[in-house]
Amino acid sequence: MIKVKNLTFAYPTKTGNFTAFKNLSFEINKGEFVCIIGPSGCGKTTLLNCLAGLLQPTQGELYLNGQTAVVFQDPLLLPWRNVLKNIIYGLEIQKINPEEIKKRVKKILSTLKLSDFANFYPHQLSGGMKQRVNLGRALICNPDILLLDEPLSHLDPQTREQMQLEILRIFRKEEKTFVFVTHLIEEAIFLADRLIIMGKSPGTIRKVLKINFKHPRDLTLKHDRKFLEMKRLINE
Amino acid sequence: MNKIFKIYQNQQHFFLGLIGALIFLIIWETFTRTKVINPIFLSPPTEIMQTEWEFFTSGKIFPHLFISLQEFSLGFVIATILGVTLGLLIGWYKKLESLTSSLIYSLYSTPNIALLPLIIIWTGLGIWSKIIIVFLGAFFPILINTISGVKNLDPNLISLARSFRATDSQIFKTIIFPASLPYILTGFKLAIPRAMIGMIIGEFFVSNKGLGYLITFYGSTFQTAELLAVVVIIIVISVSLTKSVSCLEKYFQSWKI
Repeated sequence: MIKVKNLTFAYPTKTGNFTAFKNLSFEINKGEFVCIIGPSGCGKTTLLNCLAGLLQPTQGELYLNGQTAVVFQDPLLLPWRNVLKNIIYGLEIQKINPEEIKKRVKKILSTLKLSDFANFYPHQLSGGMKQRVNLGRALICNPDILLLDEPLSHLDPQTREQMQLEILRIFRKEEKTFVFVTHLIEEAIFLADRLIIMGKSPGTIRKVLKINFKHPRDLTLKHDRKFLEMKRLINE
Repeated sequence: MNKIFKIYQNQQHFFLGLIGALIFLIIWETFTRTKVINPIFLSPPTEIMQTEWEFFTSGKIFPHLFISLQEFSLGFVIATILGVTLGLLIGWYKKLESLTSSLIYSLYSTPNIALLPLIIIWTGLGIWSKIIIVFLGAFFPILINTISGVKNLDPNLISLARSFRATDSQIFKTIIFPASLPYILTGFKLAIPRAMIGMIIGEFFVSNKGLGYLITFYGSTFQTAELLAVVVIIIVISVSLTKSVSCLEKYFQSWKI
C-alpha cells in the first residue's frame, strides 16, 4: 500500500539545509495499523506530510497506492461552520453530490456519537469532541489510508484513553490502513500492529517492531505483563 | 414599582446614558431659551427638532438626502468590492504585497481631501467627484484590513484544505474569505467616518445639492437651527451605520481564530 525507499527531506533555512529525516525505507501493508514513534524533532510529522502529499521529499522514492486523508494534530475546525458542515468540508471540496453526502454524514455522525451535536459550532465543543469531528472529516472521505498526526496530544489523559479505544473501534470497523504518529510509547503499543521507531537529528529508523496483541483490545491490556515488558524494552 | 426598578437594574447602562443625554439637552435648552447664549450661535434643541419635523413633512430635505446617500453608497460599494478583492489578492500573493505596499501606505496617509481639486479637474462638478472622494476615504481602510485578515490566517487551515486537494479558488472561497470577514468588518468601521467626511467636504466645495451643501448654505445665511438639523441627520446616519456594523461584528466575533 505504501512503499518508501531512501526517503530524505531537508528544509532550506538561512544557514543551509536542515535535514528532517534521512534515508528512510519501510513498507506499510493494506489494512495495517502502523504507529510511527520518536522524540520531538525526529521528523515524524514531516514524514506524514510527505505521505499526505503536502510536502515534496527532497530525495528518494515514495509509492502510495490509494486515497489519503489527514487527521491533524490541532482539530483545525472552521469556526464559521457547524459540526455537520465541518465534517462534510472535504466532500464539498471534492464535489461529491449532496445525496451521497447526506447518506455518508448520517453514518459518520452516529459512528462518532456526534448525532446530537450536528448543529453545534466548534467553540461550543470540548476538546475530545473537536478531535472526533476532525477524525470524522477525514473518515467521511472514505480514504484507503488514514494519516493521523498526534491527534490525541491535546487531550487530558482520560479523554485520551477513551479516544484510543474509539480509534481502535473505527479501525476494526472500517478496514482501512492507519498510519498514526505519536510520541507516547504506551499509546503506540496499545494501538499498533507494527511500530516504526525513529531516532533524531537527523531522523532515521532505529527499529521496526511487530506488536502481536489480539484485537479487540481494551484498557486492561496496558497493565499486562507483556505490555509493560515491551514498553520497558522500547524505552531503552 | 418593583418591576420598573428591576428593568432599570438590568438595563442600567442604557438608562444612565439616556439620563446623561437628557440632562445635557435640558441645560442646552435653558441656556439658549433664556438668551444666555445668542440664538445665532446655538439654537435650542426643541427648535432644531421642530425644524427637523418641517424638513421631513414639507419634503424639502429629500432631494438633498437622496443625493448624499447616493454618493455615499455608490462610493462605499465600489470601495468594498475593490478593497476586498484586491486585499485578498495582495494579502495572499507576497510579491504583489511587496510591489504595492509602499504605494498603499503613502496613499492611505495622504488626507484624501487634498486630492479634491484634482478630482474636480478630472470629473467636473457632478456627482462623480463626490463618489470618488467617498471611495478614497473608504477604500484604504477596507483594503488594509482585508490584507491583514489574510495575513493573520492560520497557515494550517491552508494545509487542511490542501490535504483534500482543494484548488486555489476553492481555498479562497472556503478558507481565506470567511476567515478574513471579521477583519473586513473592522475595516468598514474605520471606513464609515472617513467616507462621511469625504461626502460632506466634497459637497461643501462643489455642489448645489446634498447635506454638505445645505450646511454651507444655512451657515452663510445664519440659519443656525436649520444647520444643526442637517447635522443631526448626518449624526443619525453615521451612528446607525456604525451600529449595524457592530452588530455584524458581534455575530462574526466567534470566528476570529
